[in-house]
Amino acid sequence: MSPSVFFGRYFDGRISTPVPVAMRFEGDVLVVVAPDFERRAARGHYRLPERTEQGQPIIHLRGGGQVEADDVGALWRAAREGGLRESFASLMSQRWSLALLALALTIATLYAGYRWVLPWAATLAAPLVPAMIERSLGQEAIDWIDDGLAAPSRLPQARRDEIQARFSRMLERAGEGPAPGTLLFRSGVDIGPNAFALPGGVILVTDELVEAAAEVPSDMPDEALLGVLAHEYGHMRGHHLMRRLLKVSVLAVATSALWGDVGTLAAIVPTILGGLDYTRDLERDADREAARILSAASLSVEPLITLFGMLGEDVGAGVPQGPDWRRYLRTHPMTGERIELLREGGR
Amino acid sequence: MERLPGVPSGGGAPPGAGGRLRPIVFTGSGGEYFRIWIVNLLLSILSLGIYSAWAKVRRQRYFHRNTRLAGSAFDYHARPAAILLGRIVAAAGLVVFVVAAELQPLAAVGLLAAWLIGLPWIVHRALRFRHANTSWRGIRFGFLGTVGQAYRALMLPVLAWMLVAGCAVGLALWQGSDAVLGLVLLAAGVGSYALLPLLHYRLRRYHHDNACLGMLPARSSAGAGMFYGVYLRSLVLAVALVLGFIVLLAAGLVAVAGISNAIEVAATAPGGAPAVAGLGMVAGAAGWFAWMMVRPYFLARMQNLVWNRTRIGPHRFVSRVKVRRLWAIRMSNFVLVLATLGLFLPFASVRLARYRLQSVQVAVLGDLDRIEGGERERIAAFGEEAADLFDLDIGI
Repeated sequence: MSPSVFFGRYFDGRISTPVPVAMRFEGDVLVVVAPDFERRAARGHYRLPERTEQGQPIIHLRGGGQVEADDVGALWRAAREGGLRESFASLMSQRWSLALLALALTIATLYAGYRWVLPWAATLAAPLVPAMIERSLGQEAIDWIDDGLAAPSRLPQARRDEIQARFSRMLERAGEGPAPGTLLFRSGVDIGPNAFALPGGVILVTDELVEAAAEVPSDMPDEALLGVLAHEYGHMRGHHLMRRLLKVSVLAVATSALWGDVGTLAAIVPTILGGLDYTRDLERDADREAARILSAASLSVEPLITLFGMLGEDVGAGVPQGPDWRRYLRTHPMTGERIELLREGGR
Repeated sequence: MERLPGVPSGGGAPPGAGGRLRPIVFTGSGGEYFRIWIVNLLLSILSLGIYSAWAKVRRQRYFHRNTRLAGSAFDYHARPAAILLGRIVAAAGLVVFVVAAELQPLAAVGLLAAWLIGLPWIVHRALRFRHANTSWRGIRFGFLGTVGQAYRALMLPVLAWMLVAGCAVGLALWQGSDAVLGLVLLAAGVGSYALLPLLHYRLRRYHHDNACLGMLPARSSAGAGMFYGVYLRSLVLAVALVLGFIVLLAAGLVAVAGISNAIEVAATAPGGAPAVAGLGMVAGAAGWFAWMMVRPYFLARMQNLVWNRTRIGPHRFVSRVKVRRLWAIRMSNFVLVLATLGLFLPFASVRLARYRLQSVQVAVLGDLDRIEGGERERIAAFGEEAADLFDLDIGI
């Protein structure tokens, strides 16, 4: 059987004059036959076009020159006879069923990347961030807080030393090494009763928090405050801030690569929602860690739970039983869930 | 959205120019491009971005080969490996910048200045790469502009932009402690934006005066005044829209709350901060609204201006993009892309490309069959990819 012939117009790359040609494959050698010449191209010396509905199928010849084929179907019929195959990507793009499969796989991959791969990679990478960078970030945060958000602490030095000593003793009893976290006291002008774990091993505590915690009845002195500090220590120990920073940066890059074309808004919203979601996971982690430390130091979680109840937990926690979608707009897990987690871990 | 740089995507002869009008025909379909796009996306994600270079070539080939003039399609020749290398270099540069900005803001300012000073060179490389890799009937486009010309054309406005960046940094450092100096800096910053149309004009002239199809050189006859005209009319339109938006909003507030309540709410906003924040949000919303509404006007007028005043050899272009039609396409695209979480994106690209390309005709004077090819060259893709990464639109 003689090989299938297909037709097209040859251009030599030197002039735009079309030359009608007939083509065939002899094995995988492409033969281009024009009225006054014949060109043969071995495999690897020509590039066949992808099969599309209306697009011009163009064969590139190495060393210049190209052929516009009249019919992509005839081209590939002949090429298949010569033992050539279409690319994987091209085959997948030709059928709706395969394209929709690609869509499903894309969504599954994105979800898995967001849910498992990214947190895993961030957990792995966060401790590797040089201490210098963490410290400089922490100092930046302190400067920012000191610049109007908070004022110097009004607590007597003796009281501060007492809290620091109790905090260190609790950590020691929980087996957390000799000199773990440093407490930094501030009077929270705009931030109210609050505590933050800053990068670089510093936990910032406001006077207002110390005062609020003192109102919680407890068996041991400062039990509620120690609970909050244990929670913040959990953030610190797990490099949560750095993990979050890494995750959110990757998320921002990925969403802008995916949706950046549409507009800034489309790229920002998933980043914020995703960032909040991660934050909730980290809060759960820190709660678990707090429960562990408290229990190891023979302290109770109940004062901490009472304190969270008093302070309304955090942003958005004013609605105790909101509709489910609200969960995605909150930084901390919902109250009931959280109490359960603490009690379970504290046992 | 999709760009077909180097491809004369506008066309048609001005009245009286003579020549046969040949339409540019776009044959791509949204459904087909969706299938290519989703497979590209999947493979790019699975390969951690490496495939994106191959994806770009597939995408560019799809759009080029579906764009026809006189029965022949355009074509795209870039090698994926070159694009990948360009992307790696550009991305590495971005990472260095981000890390430097985090650790040492002053170093970042230096890098930013270096980037701005390097900008004309990048534009030059990007244009060379794009043109050298685009062809029609086997004849490559080319770009003959030199680096020196790029600097002569662009350096003044770029320096002015550096002034803007300097102003921003200066303002941030001063933090309003010296109000007069702050105002002067601000005025200088805003003033340098008056150079934007000039920069755009010079970029276009640099591009269109130095491009060629084989031995046929392109020429542009647009003037700087025309660019200022389009920019000014867009600005006036935007300001009018912002004012209208605010009036409408105020009217809505009054209608809902009653006039006395609205005034009371405005007057008694506690602490001023929420009121200021609210005002900022309204201003932001108004600005965004105006941007969305005016951009199609700007793009349509700009495409028509640029292409109606460009010729390649004896052939001229006639571009007849209608503002209303482009507006409708862009608006519906935006809504549909948002509503489908991005899945409409490939359909949107095809719709937009089809309209913009089919609005162009070429007034052919003489013979399209006798265009001679020039020398072929291989250009590294760094400039193109750097321009892409930083969203520097040097295309249509």
